[in-house]
Amino acid sequence: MLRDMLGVRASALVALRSQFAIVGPGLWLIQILSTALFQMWFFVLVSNFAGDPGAAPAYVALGNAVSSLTYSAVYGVTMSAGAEKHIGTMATIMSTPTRMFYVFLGKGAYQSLIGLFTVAVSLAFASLFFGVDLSGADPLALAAVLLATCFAMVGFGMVIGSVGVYLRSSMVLGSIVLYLGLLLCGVNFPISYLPEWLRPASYIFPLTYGVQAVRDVAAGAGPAEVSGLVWLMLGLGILFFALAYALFIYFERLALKRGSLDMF
Amino acid sequence: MIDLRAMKAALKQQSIHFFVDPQWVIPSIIAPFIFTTVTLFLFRHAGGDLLLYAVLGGGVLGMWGNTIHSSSWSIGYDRMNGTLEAIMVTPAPLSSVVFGRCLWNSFLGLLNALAVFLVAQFAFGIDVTVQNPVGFVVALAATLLSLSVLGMVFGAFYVVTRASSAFFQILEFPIYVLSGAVFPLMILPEWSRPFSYIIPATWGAEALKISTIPGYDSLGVGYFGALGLTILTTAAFLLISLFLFTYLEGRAKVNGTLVRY
Repeated sequence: MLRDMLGVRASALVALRSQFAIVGPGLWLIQILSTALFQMWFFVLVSNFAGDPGAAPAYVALGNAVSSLTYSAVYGVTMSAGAEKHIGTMATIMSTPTRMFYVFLGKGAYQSLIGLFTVAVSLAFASLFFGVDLSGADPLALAAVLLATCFAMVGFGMVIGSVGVYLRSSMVLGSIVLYLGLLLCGVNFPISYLPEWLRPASYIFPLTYGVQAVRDVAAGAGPAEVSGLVWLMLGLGILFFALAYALFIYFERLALKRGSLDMF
Repeated sequence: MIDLRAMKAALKQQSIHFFVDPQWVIPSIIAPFIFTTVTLFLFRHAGGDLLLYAVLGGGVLGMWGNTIHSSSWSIGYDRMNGTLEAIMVTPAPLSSVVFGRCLWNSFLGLLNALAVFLVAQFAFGIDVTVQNPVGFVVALAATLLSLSVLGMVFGAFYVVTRASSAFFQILEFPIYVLSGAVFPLMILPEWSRPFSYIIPATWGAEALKISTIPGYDSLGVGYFGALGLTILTTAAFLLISLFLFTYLEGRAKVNGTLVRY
């Protein structure tokens, strides 16, 4: 257990140190800010032009601010396995005494911090430029909701990322999951707009509950009112982490058996 | 100038890469596809011309998304695989190689237009009727060319940086917004419009809309005006890109950073 925890810590530290190995801090910050701002602006303009009262610009801006968590918490985590494969370090990781799940858990922990930073910046953008009123939001409820959303989304990312151990690359899967939330999770329009057959898919994504909880908090809900959604996300998160643990072991064995660890 | 033989060879090589492993087009066009589909959902209440905006804009978004994504990755992969140096010591100018790749990538971005068209047709029941088919095809070709040239301008910078993946993420969405591909440019704030006017895709998208949507001419330049401005801005960006390639290639050779990854 201690060894695994040390593995998680070491992996998180390595992720932190390697963050700026290729992309410098300035460029990285521009990347985070520009992506969050322009994605939000695009959908706000579309919503403005559409004139649909059910998906007004402030509604869209708030949804996009929360969905910015996906870049790090889901995509970043999903891509971790693919990236190791890409640079040929997957086999080395597997030869260490720490289980692969814990190595990627460390990376996920680091990505959570980045995700929380991104969502804070995006909420500031939404509030400053796109008319999102957060003056009535309870800071404690907002923090609890964002932490729970991030926890569940990292778990979700770990589940998707585990497939990357076996597949040639997790990039294709990661890219799909990265943007699908914009369509399915009530980010840009209510889920009721989706065809009935597509709606169940929304409930698999933790982002759906996170977006709803943040909307509730922005509308003045306190910690007690959003506790149901927070508990639901925590439960989902635990479920995702447990599933990821099992999947990492399964795909690790499968990859070893088929010799696909270094296949890219 | 552009070496047509090298450009053709690069285009062919890029197309072979696609046919060998077509799954790689997904990361490049998933963003424009989802963006356009969300737009369709938001526009469906208004119906009519607004839905056409989404379909036409989806084509432009797809071409740009695939150009900027694939082009940055292709130079990045050359750098990573150590083939960038080899490409640069051939007599063919690197700009021609990158242009050939960008052309193929822009063309492949039309897959998004096809996917959006199918969603529009079958899920939303939109009847896409082009009022000026010849004008539409000419405008589409001009837009494709303009986006390839824009991809080339940014491609020049990938020769001197290892951080091409960061650049493509920074550059993808601003063009979605500033080109006004899925909404009229007039809804953008006034201060941002000059940026839109210098992007060739803005005029290409305008020409596409004029040739498809009856009575549309939001910028008051007409079809030929929009087409002329597409060609003019594309030519200007082509000159800029050729200058950049000459300058940055020279710099990369002096710095000796071509295989640094």
